[in-house]
Amino acid sequence: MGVHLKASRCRLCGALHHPPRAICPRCGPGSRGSLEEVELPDRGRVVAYTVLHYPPEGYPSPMILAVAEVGGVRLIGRVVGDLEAVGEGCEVEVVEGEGAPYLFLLEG
Amino acid sequence: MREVAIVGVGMTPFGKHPDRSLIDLMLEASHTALMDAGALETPIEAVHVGCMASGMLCGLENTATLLADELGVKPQTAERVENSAASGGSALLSAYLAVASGLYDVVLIVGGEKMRHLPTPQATRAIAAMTHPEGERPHGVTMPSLAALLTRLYMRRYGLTRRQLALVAVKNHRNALSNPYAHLRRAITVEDVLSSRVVAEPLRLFDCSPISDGAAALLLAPLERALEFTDQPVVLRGVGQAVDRVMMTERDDPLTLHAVKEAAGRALERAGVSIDEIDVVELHDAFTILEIVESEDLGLFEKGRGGEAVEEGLTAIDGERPINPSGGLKARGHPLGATGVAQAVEITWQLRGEAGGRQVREAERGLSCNVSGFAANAVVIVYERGW
Repeated sequence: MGVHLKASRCRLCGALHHPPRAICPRCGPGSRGSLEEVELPDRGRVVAYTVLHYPPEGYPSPMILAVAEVGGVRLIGRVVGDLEAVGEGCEVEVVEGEGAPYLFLLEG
Repeated sequence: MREVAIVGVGMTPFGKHPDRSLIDLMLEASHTALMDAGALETPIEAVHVGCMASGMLCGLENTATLLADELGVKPQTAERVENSAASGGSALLSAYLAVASGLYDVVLIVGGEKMRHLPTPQATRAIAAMTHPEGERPHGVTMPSLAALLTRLYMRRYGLTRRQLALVAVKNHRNALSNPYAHLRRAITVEDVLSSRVVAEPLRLFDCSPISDGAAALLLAPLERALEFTDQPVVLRGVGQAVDRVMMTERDDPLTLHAVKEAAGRALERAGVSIDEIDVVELHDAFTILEIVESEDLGLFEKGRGGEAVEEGLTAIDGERPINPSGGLKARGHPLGATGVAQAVEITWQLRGEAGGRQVREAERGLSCNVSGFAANAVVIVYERGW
């Protein structure tokens, strides 16, 4: 099941931010109170990835980490799926994950 | 603002020091710097310590006051500066401000870290404490994984080859052969790099700086008093610092390290010199990709040209743009808080003509670039002979 992550949208400049935040880094301290909660789509596309062979304690090895574009925000996260199948441009579904705020599930 | 000079330098060898404490390492570097300046009897007015994680790594805080006590000095100010891997550069910057403002005359800066006593996963976790606590860390992001993602993006846009990347490590290892203070003193080949184990694709073990113990120290004084300590003072001609978004993924263009670019612009402008007038550079090659990207953002090469520059030998000690004659973080080693201070020590030796087999010919001006986080904060300093 895909999850729709909560992000912040600045009403002053329109920029989206994840993780959600109180202040827009583009607009500065004066933007406090001007951010609204929005939901991101549950699908995105891999922009870059790496296979990490020495992850921190408690994480699987090897582990795929990717930057994915999700609804106009670049998110970093773990990819669940075949090492051979991952690549730049791959579609991913944003899903709930154990021990992480979300995971990227390779489509197909 | 008064002109400020480095009048004494010292450091411990970087590497493994299983039997020595962090304070012991800092003490040795400090004492060597005081001896170098002939200042063992001089009142030290301030001690600025650069150290990132003495708490997590050694279970120790209050490091600056403890060091002053052990060193037998009673300064007016003793404090530690934390700016992750640029803690050393930041400690130097705050000491510079104290002397430039006229508040103090004689100030000691010590950068140090002790990391090797911990198993690698624990040391990695302490280092990863500099990543974003919500956007990065819960996903298992480590510094090598960020460097790997940057490498992928850079390779795709600029056609950097794996061989060019490996040549950064080969050069820095070669330079370190003539640096008695370096952690890794052995020559390596491109094949060695490409056959070392994969850490985070496409980066391999030899693309990464090692985990090191060590300390480095500097004594600062106003230039007008420098000759009391040395006949070869090194003037801090310009300093610059800049801050960028913490997460690489939130930067408009992750392939330009804006903190490095802006800090360098400020330091060079304050020094009144252009990057073309710099003879020797020590920069923050925690990973091979960072040497290439930083060399471009400092203005040494056009964007996208850094890889070719290494391949053409331009960054070698006898090249047009010598980078990291010390061996850099890659081969000198990277005890986090010590690095920014060790860069200043190396530039001082280079400008004094004391760098032995790694001496850059007729080096009169130098530049150091120390970065924190994943290049979210940078300290750049321009140095010049003061004699």
